[in-house]
Order: sequence, then C-alpha cells, then structure tokens
Amino acid sequence: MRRCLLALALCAVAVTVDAAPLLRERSEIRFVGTQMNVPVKGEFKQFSGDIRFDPARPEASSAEVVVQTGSIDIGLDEGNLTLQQPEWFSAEAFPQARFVASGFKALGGERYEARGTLSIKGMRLPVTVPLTVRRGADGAWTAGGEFVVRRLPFQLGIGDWADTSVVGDEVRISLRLTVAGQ
Amino acid sequence: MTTVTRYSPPQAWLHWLSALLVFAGIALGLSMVDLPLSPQKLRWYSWHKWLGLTVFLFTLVRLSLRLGVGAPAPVAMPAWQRRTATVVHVLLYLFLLAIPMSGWLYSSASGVPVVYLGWLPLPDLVAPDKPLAESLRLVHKTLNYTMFILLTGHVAGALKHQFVDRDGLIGRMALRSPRPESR
Repeated sequence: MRRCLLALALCAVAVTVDAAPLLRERSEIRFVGTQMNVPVKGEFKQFSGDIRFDPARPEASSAEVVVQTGSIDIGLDEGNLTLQQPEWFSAEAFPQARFVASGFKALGGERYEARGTLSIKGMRLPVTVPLTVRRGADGAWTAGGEFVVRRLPFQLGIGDWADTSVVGDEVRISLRLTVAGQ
Repeated sequence: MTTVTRYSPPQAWLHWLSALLVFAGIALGLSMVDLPLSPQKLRWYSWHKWLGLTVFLFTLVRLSLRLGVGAPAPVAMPAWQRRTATVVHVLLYLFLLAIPMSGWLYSSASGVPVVYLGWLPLPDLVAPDKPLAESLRLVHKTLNYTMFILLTGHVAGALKHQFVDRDGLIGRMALRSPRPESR
C-alpha cells in the first residue's frame, strides 16, 4: 500500500511543470508612450525571468519578469539619460522593475489572462495582462500580449513632467516572452 | 501721388501672417535647441514644427494665388533693382518650401514622427538614420541662416523704397485699401 502511494506521489511530482527561464534572444519588452501626441517607441534591453506554464492547469502557472530599469532605450541618448533620473525611473535607487503573476486564467483557445503585480520605483500595483500562448515547432512556449499602464501612479515623470498634456499618462506595453519547452 | 495698385487681400494677409509665423518659428528654433530636455523643450519643438508646416501650407496657397491672380504692377525703379527684387522673392518662396521640408525630413530621420497641431499624424519621410539626421540638421540650419540674410535684404529693400524713395511701395502689401486722397 505504501509503495503504491509512494509511486503515485512520484508520478505527481514528475508531471509538475518546472519554471523555465526566459530565452532573452526570443523575448522582448517594448512600449509606446506619447509626447505632444507624438508616439515614442522604446524597449527594455536587459531583463530576465521565468515562466511556469502548464496548459493542463493554467491556474497553477506563474510568471516572474525582472527588468533592469537602466536598460531603457527610446533611441535618443538624451531621452534615455533623462528616463533614468529621479523624476523618472530613478534607476540608481530602483535598478529593477518586476512583474509577478500567479495563476493564468484560460479564456479559450490560446488566450489567457495573467493577473499579477507590477512593481516599479517602489510602487506596487495590480495589473492584468492578456496573453496569447503558443507552442513553437521546437516545443518552446511564447507568450505575447499588450496592456496599457498609467505612468503617474508609478511616479514615473513627476514635477514638471507630471503634465500629461506633454507626456501622456498612458503607455502601451507589449510583451513577447519565450521559454524553452519541457 | 498716385495710389499704388496692391496685392489681393488674401495675398496680403497670407504674406503678413507668414511673416509673423516665420519670425516666431525662428525665435523658437534658436531658443529651443539649447534647452535641456524638459516638457517646455518638447512643447517648443512641437510648436516650431506646427509653425513651419503652416508656413509651408500658406506658401503653397500664396504661390497658387500668385499664378492665378497675379501681382500688382511694380513701382518705378531701376531695372537692376527690379531684377534683384524678383530674385529675392523667388528665392524666398523656394526657401519657405524647402525649409519646412528639410525640418520634416530631419524629424523623420531622428526617429521623431511629426503630428501636425498635435492632431494629424504625418508620414515619416525617411526611416530613422542618425548620420542622415545630422546632415539634415545642418541643411535645415544652413537654409535658415541663408533665408535670414534674404529676409534682411527683403525688409531693408522695402523700407528703403517706403522711406528713402518715398514711392509708397509697402502699399502694395497693405491689408486695407488706402484712404481716398483729400481734394
């Protein structure tokens, strides 16, 4: 009897999906903000994380992404420097931003919803990220999605920069996160 | 003294409005480039581009009016002065088209799209390209400095005619009809 239970327990452990690290070269974190209604495109060049995705039990899935705030790049040197200043990301004091989600909600087909927390500059706020999760030919999982975040609640752009008629409050973030298959 | 014939009211209005916009555009252009990155700098850059594009549009309309309605007869002056004025005017029309275009190209090459009046997105004329952007910046700057010299000549010439020759030349660009001469 004990051997049967032990065997069953071992099977359960073997079926659990491990968290897999992000494949950086097949992942990206991009965003589009606005200044004077002109789109400003950028990305974070350095980030890492892992995703545990179990298509059989999405509610047991989880994701954690850690972004190096100093790696922000909008294609303009003076802009990048400004974004690292205390009025913006304050990269020296807050070198990392973090997205942590536990439990994906299946929406049907390849679509899921990841509810989690976005931590930037010492502020932690809930965020819901719609994701489309696909399996590649090599078995790798790629989760892609877009969501809109408001910068002011995260204290991004304070003082004179808080004027949303110049730099818009809303920023659209697009994610493509790839992990090796298991 | 006979009253000079004048440009049509739309032509005159567009001329003086263009002068105001050009003056404001140059003032913003000279001040904004040295500002550290700030909301004010972003406002000034956008306003500068909106002014430039409006001058571009006004100039297209003015050229159409010039072709359609024509220009009033020139006041009497030596032939070389009339020829110089024609050259300066033609160059000014060209610069008023080329300068906004060079600015728009510069913005595109810098990776900054142009949204006219913060409302109408304009196409990017070229793909982002840092070395090209630097070249276009110099083109935009050089064209502006050259136009400034032409403008100085244009204004000086007009003032010379009005106050030295006393031929009433500025009346050709008057916004309202001159008062009838008293008997």
